[in-house]
Amino acid sequence: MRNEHTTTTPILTDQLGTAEMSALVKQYTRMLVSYARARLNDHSLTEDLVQQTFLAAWEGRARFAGESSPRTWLFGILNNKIADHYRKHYRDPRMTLTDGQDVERFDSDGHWLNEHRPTDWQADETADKEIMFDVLARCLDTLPEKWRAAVEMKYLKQRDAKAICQELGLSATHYWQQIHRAKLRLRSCMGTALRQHSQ
Amino acid sequence: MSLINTLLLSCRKATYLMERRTMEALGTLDRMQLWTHVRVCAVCQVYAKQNAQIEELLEMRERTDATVDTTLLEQRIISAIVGKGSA
Repeated sequence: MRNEHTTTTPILTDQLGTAEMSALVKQYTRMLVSYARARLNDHSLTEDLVQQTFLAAWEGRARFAGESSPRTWLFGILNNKIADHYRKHYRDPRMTLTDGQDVERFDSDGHWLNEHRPTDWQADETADKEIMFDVLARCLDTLPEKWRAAVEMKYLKQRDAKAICQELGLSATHYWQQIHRAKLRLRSCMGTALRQHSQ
Repeated sequence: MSLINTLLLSCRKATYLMERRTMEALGTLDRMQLWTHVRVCAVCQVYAKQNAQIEELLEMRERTDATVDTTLLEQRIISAIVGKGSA
């Protein structure tokens, strides 16, 4: 074990050395893991991308030179790594685009079918964030892989539809339709899970 | 398509526009139709509320599993950095 100064935020300069970098690793790893784990359904991939983030930060330390906070810098790199993963995922022909479980929620006039009408979530005002995050994570895991990738890109790329469509090789209309369907499915899954939870 | 759909949108179109609205500004007609639809459609009001909640959760989400120890990962990363040296 080396002697670390974990309690103080290291001063970042272009001379960022291994000691300062190690301190950043100790300070931010847990935070980066919990952020990435909520966006990826695979724990070892999460750890891998967090490690790659620090290695990329280390290699690019001369460019960083204290221009932003280390937190912003590291999260920026991590976001790019996760987006990259989903971009490759989306373009991989082996990934599933649809599945047999998707149901029609509207009638031919576009009105809600009775059994699919959204109803109030009993738990919505009182459920604590932990439960909501957990339910959301489990519902995201049920989406077909490409839908999941399309949804994740929206938040990783700061809702920049143009950039996302370019990266995924989609038309804007196709992209809207896909995340619309994904959102309908997510909302319905969360409703079911929250009802079960409150019983 | 019924007259009411032409004036007020269908629920399918309304929920679609809600999704688009989170990423780009809607045109005036779309915006007015969506606003009116949500005013008169109680079901889409519920949808809009839950959709906003989901949007917020998707932005903020974290998954902290207290049982996961990151110490080993930290050591692995530090070794990798030290291994690369400061060249």
